[in-house]
Amino acid sequence: MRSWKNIVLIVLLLTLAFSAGVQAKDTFVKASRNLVDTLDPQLMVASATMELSFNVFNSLLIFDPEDRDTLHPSLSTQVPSYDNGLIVDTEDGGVRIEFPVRQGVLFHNGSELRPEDIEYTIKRALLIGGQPASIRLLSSTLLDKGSFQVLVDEIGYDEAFEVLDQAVTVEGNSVIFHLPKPFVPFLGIMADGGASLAILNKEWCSEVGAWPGTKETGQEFMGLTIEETALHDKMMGTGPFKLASWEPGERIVLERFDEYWEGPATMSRVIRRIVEDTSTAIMLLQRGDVDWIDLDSPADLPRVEGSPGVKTITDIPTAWLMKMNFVFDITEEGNRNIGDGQIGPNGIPGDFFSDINVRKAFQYSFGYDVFINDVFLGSALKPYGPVLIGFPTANPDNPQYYYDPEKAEEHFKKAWNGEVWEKGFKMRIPYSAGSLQRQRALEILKDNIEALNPKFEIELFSLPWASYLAEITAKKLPISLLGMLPQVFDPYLPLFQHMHSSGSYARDCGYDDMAREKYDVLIDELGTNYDEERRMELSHQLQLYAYEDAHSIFHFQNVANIAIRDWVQGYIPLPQPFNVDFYQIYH
Amino acid sequence: MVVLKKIIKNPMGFIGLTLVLFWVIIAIFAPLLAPPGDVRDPYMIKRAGYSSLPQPPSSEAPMGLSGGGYDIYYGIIWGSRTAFRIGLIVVLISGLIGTLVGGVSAYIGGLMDEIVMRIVDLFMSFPFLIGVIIMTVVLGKGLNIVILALIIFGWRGYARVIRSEVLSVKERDYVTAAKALGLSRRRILIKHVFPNSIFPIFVLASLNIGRMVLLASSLSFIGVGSEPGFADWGQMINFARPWLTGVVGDPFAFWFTYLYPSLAICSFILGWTLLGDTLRDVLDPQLKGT
Amino acid sequence: MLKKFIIKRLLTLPLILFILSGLIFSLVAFLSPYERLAVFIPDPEVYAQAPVEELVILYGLDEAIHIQYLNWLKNVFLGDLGWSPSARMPVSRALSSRFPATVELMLLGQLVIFFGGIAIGTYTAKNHNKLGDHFFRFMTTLGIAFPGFVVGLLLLVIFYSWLGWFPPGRLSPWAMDVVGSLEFQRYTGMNTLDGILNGRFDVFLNSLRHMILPAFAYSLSTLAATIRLMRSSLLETLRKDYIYTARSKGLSEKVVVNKHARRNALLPVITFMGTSVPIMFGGAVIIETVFGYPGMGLFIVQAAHGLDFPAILGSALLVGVVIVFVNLVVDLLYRILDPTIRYD
Repeated sequence: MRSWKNIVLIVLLLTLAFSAGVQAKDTFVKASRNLVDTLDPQLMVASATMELSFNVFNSLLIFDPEDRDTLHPSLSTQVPSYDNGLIVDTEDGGVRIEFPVRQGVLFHNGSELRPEDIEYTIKRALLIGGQPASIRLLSSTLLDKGSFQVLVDEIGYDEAFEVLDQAVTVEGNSVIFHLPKPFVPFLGIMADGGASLAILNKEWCSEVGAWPGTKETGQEFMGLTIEETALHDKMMGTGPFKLASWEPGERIVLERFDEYWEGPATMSRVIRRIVEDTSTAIMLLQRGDVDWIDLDSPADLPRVEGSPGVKTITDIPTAWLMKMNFVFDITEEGNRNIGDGQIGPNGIPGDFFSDINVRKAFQYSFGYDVFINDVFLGSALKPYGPVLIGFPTANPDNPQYYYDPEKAEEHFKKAWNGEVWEKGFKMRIPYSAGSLQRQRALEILKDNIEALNPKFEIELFSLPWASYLAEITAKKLPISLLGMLPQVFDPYLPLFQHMHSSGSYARDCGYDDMAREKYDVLIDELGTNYDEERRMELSHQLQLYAYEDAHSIFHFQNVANIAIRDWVQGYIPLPQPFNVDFYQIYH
Repeated sequence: MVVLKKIIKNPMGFIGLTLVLFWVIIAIFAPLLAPPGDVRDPYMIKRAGYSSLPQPPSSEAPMGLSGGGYDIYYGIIWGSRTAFRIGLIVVLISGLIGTLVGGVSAYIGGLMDEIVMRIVDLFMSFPFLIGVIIMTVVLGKGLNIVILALIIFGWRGYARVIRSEVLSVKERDYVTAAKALGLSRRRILIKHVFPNSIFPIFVLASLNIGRMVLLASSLSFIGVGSEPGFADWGQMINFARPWLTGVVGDPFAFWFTYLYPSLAICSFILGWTLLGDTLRDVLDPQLKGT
Repeated sequence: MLKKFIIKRLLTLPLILFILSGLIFSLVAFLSPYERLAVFIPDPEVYAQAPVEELVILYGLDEAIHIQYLNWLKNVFLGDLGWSPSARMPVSRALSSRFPATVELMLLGQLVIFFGGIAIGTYTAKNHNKLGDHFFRFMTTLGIAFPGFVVGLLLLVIFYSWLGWFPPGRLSPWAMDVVGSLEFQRYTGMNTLDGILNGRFDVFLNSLRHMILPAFAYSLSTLAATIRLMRSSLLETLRKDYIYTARSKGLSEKVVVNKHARRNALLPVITFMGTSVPIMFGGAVIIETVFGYPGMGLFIVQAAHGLDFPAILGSALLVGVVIVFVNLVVDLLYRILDPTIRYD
């Protein structure tokens, strides 16, 4: 028996002695909770995964990190504009945009970038039905239909492929885009640094089993899923880093590409490892085994601030806006959330929120300051409206709602001809389990409203994400808490999403008629008119409508906090600050 | 009762009984000790504000506030009711089912035993977590679902344990003797087999009453426990998860968020375990005489 | 006799798996296609842009259940467990990396439980009601009384944050590079065994170093319970008639305890350890989260949250096989320990 114990002891000691590994100075390790959904940039939807495509690929243009409104050339040698003649209006009302392609750019496998690669990339993105928002936008712009599938359903594959073929062409050393009508955010879409508009190498793609680029093979690749794509576990681009290895669920490793056309990066290796638990991530950071962690909650800041060797960067604006959306036409059948479907102590009618006074009453009932100060400990921004803070044409002077119980009471008394105040109401609102910000926002709303009149009752309950999704889709929620994460830095996107009849919110929340009447025209013009002053006018008008018609409570725009080892220099925030531009990092 | 006296005489048993009684009293007098005010459901923990940072104990909140403004004192008091509810209901029902099924089947043996044990295997193979998570999606969340899930996936433990005992007791002399005497199967089961094989069940049961609270806590961890804000010690421990490591320079800054629920859970489990142990010690020599 | 018993038991395996998979699949009937869509829409912010109806059709979520089940069954017979949308890889690949990780951990844990539990349990029974007994009784109650993540985090704080001895994760970065490289052959998927088989003792040690804390945290409550069960079982056995017989025969106390009593006392303990296996699969998720150790626990929970049926079914089948084997081993051990037990 003795000898057993000795052996165990020796082994234990050995494990301690033997295994200390030293961290190389030119390796950057990032801890993340986000799983990589796929390496195919045209099927990637999680914004955290786009960090990888951003660093491994390039796109035609790139936004200026300090001033996102300004664009710079990347794989293209110039930024097209009317002034330099690269943007030209065509006779049929369309627009022709030309991108001269840079020479001497190498892919990770050594082959040189050619205009055909860009042509292929765009065509593939459209053909397979690319999932990222910017590609879907591109699709509807270039094909004038929602997607390639829709086009095929309408005019048949052969005709549809012709349209696709003509949308992007190569002339000499340039790639030409033929837009059926002007689309202002187009350049912005092209400038995402490779996040979604990552330029692929046509030959390599063909070799590894992706679409070869021919018409005959096209149909097999339509409606491509993650399961089917040959690019699921491979990445090969022109960016400063190349894929070294990927252990799904554990970590992904990138290595420096020495022949990067802008010069090699400083870091030679980047490791992104999955760490589920925040406490564990903090410990890893404090010990230096990890160089970067995202702090999901501002309440995490006091847990890291002041640790030796660690510095924090706080209050970084993000492009994530959250809002509480009133559903104007709640499904009535089999819906426990609205009780008996009548105004009264046992329910609400499905069209409860179609009355503007109800909406305004709710708007005035929300404790905006309490929410930001107590729940976010001050680390969030109160939005101006649907156009995110920091985006062009965002209007800080747009009228806004504040917590005002008197005004709330006033509007409640007017609602539904006084019935609401007299009879009271009851509704059930779910939130997705684990989402603290949703839970707290609803709790604040509930407490403030119930305090106004004892006949008002709001019951809150949590649902697993799958059930929450099902209820939203079935329109059973009186109020849904969904926000916007625009990938392109242009007011068109959030306004389209929030207020256009074809945008998701107008449809899902039931105000698409209102949209068709008042907003569509303005939003369409916003998308097609390049005149900056006019765009400002349109945007401001739409933001005003958002206030007057009160479709949603804009309760916060997220702000990011990160904690990093103090040797890390060069960090420049990207629109989603948790995504890092590894090229800029140095010791 | 003789048994009670014997328990009290045993020092461990005395401590166990005291602890359990302590919590019984707290549970009964909860509305007096922590008045719910005019909130509709007293089981939802009283809130004071929404601050994401826990607030240390003060005159209004003697045990402090957890992240989100939950009054810890209130949660501890009302959580005692939840602990009893979960522990007693689950153990009673699952213990009964498991013991009956496992015991009878083991005694009868043969094909029926095989089939029943395969069914038990089936229940065991069905991964608990998957079952619970899917149950929540289909049936909704809440304490009752937690209890139901714990029963469905808990009875098999008792079945297996009683089975091993019965299989062994079955071959004992006194059973063979009873059979030879012509006693009915039922009689032999009730008078001879069960009483001699039941002890591990008692130990298991006493352990489990407390353990249920912990299992409920792991369910909260993965997001399928009781409703957020419900007075449930397991959930309260989960609330404390981000605060376990404190802040830099003061690792115990938020001690109140985890110490109180931990003490509650520990003392509750300790009480039942000691009680169960002593009960077994006390009952054993009595029955041996049969 | 024995062979027949084993074969009979193994034959029931396919039947069990079939029923199990059928039962699980039937749960699909209770779920709407939108609920099953959740795994393709990872977070709410993506939802706003997702073409829900298209996705439902694309992934065949509205097809009739029995068709979906038959398709799945057919593929399983061909050796294809399908694609896991929650893990973003084929189910078989996910299982082949996650399952060995958990097995490794569980083996180490069971070793600790077995030797520790029996040794300490015997000690407390022998020193019944003395100081040592009370001390361990108190400790074991504490051991059961703490939620897994509390123990895990506390251990990490002490042994990693303060001392730097045992880091979270499965392997250190340099070891991961070695294991991922082409020269390293993955025989079992378990880093410890593979390390030895590849002649890389450093990988073996590194893997062990990462496993010690999670294995301990993970087994703590089962260890505590085993100690108590061993104690009570041994105490009970010691009072039995045949023990008096042995003692009166003049055999030394040591022989009495070790040879006769222990064997019989082991029965409920072995049972308990057997039942603890599936429970440990469940408890694993908490430990795996805290220690950043990707195993079956996390995989199952993520699959279940996403209603990812191929992954759920694949895991359930695998776990089912493991459990039938474990039960078989347990039953066989009974026969060895107590030859009087008969199986009809």
